[in-house]
Amino acid sequence: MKKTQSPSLLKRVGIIAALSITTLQAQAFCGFYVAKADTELFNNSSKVVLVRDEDKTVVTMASDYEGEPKDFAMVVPVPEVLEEGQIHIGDNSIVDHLDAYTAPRLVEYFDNNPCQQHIMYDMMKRSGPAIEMIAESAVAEAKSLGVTIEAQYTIGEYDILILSAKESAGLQTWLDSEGYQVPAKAQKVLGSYIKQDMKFFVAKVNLQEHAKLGDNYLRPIQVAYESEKFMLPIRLGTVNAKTTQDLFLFALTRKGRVETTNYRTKKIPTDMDIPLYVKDEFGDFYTAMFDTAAKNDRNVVFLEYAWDMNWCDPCAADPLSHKQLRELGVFWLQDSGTPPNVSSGMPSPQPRIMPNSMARDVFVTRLHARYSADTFPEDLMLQETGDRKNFQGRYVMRHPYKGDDLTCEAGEEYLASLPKRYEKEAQTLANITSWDINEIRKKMDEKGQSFVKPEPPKKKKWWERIWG
Amino acid sequence: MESSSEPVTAKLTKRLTALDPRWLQIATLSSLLIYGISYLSFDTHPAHFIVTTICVQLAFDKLYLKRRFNWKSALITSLSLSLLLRCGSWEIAVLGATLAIASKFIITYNKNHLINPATFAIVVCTLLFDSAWTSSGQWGHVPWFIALFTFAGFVVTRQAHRLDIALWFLTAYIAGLYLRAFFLGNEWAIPFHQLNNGALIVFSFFMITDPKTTPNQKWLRIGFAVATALLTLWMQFGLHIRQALFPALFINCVVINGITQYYLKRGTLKFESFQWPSRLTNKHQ
Repeated sequence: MKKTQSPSLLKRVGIIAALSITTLQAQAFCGFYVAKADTELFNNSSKVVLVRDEDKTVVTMASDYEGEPKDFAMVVPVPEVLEEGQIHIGDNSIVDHLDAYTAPRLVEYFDNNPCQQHIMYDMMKRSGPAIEMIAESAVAEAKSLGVTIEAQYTIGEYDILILSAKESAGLQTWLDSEGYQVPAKAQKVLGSYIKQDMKFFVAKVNLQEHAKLGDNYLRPIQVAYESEKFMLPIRLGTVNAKTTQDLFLFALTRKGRVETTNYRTKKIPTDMDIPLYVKDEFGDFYTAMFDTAAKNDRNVVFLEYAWDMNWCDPCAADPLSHKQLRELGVFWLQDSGTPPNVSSGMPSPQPRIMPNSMARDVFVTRLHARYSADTFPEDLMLQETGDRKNFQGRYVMRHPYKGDDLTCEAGEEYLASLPKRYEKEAQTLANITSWDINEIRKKMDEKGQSFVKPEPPKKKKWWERIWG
Repeated sequence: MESSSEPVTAKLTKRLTALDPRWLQIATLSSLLIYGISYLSFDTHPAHFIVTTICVQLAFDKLYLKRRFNWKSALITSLSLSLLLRCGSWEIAVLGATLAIASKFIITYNKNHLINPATFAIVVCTLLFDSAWTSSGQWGHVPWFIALFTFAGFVVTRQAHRLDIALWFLTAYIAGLYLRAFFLGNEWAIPFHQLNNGALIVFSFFMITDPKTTPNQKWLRIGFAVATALLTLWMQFGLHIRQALFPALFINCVVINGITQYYLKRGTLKFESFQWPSRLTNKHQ
């Protein structure tokens, strides 16, 4: 799944969509998703966490960029000139935790003995849905091109510039001369943002600072700003993209679910019984299911999770702690401690966490868009709704009862009903993943889900039932 | 064959012309609602709106004005609310439906109600309650749907003699979107995408064209339509208000109808009463 970076693509300007930001989604930046443990991957994807209440917004742009740090660059439109204090370097692990907490989940149930009278066991799998300072000559050149370097900072491992420009050609020329390979077609889009009075947040890696970290990963960049515009710019990212890209948007809000207002937001298929063998390939299942959904609805944003951050049932990962949420920019949370039933770590999530008395008004929405210039010509316009109904991508495996004591009439009926139930599971899986149904049936059969009516076990003699 | 079909066609046309356009409106809005709930999974509960509007209308008609029960208008309002207003609780839905019908009887000037009842309820509820909102983006971008309901809307508004409002509003709005795209240097795909929107069709043919809350004078209607389009564009792109159609219509209803009623009272304008083309229509409504 992992792709290597083509040297010819290096140092393209990349983006992560964000905020009143846009993303110059570059091939070099967030060009692919990297597999972690059993996390599923989507190529050409980016993750953005958007915290918003009224007009205050904090955006975290995370990337699994694994190329050479010197080749990383991003340009993001922002609504205002950002002061140094409005920019922060975040922590990838918190974004990963949020990803895991909101990921589609697989749940496992074990049938009871129909001859007796429940044991339930939940199993979740995380899925993927579980500079140097600018030289004076450059400043002068920028000025002659109508580009103003409003501010420049070195924050963490990044050298950051905030630019404003009078016209797009000058901005593009200057970015080119500074080594950012902005695609030629981007000029029109840059011009549109300039006319809308947007500024440009430009970042590249400060190699010295990065070396001090001793880590090859780049940490997410966070920006905080106030703006009436509740949107996520994606247009720059589509300019030069040859394929579709995936965007995961995690919105943390107070009132309720976030949705797009200029694209339909549709729930992903959920609450379906699927064959047992999917447990071993849940990642493939999720990507195939999403591929099918995105193919059927090409200009739709999918809702994958909407939940009150206090709890989860079942939990793919524990809800985020107060500290983690504040790190992500949830500014309205007081530092009053984490509710007792929420741990700050991600490993071994509790099966379920129920709402508690220390309620925190944080509602999380996970949106997933597969976009290209054809299907998503306009930036994502967002709104917070008052909808606090919980939604999750949840898939169910039902293990048949395995005991050999199905000797009653209900037991025989149960055994007779299994092939029909397996066939329904096979058809459901084929429908939502577009997988070949015969292949599905074959794999089910190998996993013990036989389509042939099983023989009821021989009735034991009464003394056999005493001593086994 | 021709001679025998002529009277039938003429008869049909005559019947159709005499038909209360509210029947067509009820049929179209119901179809939209069925499509929305079954295909687009709209999270709406029409029963809350329908039962409440009918009861409130009945109470006002029978107890307050002591006249014939005007259930068709109430049903249309409830269908519009079901399509457009999302509520986090049934209490807000009931309150919204009550406000909508009550506004027809309370917010009046010169015995005419000023604001489209559904628009009034939508604006008030979304301003007052966090758990009330509108979701205009959820109609999706399906060309056949847009074409079909544009046609249906065309027939209904023509019947209600308000086609000019829909056409002028759409013309001004479309021109505004394309001018903005031209000024910003955007691809034409962007204004096209903004137009390819079911909510815009519902609004243009079923809300802004309400005969009871729009002027009867043609030039005033054109002004009303164009002003609503311009105000919507400004609120949408200047103030970044996502659901600008409803507040823009609300404001224009108040302003334009206020002006109209003022000049009617002074006698500058000649009073032209709108009547639904139906024998059953109550004169007071």
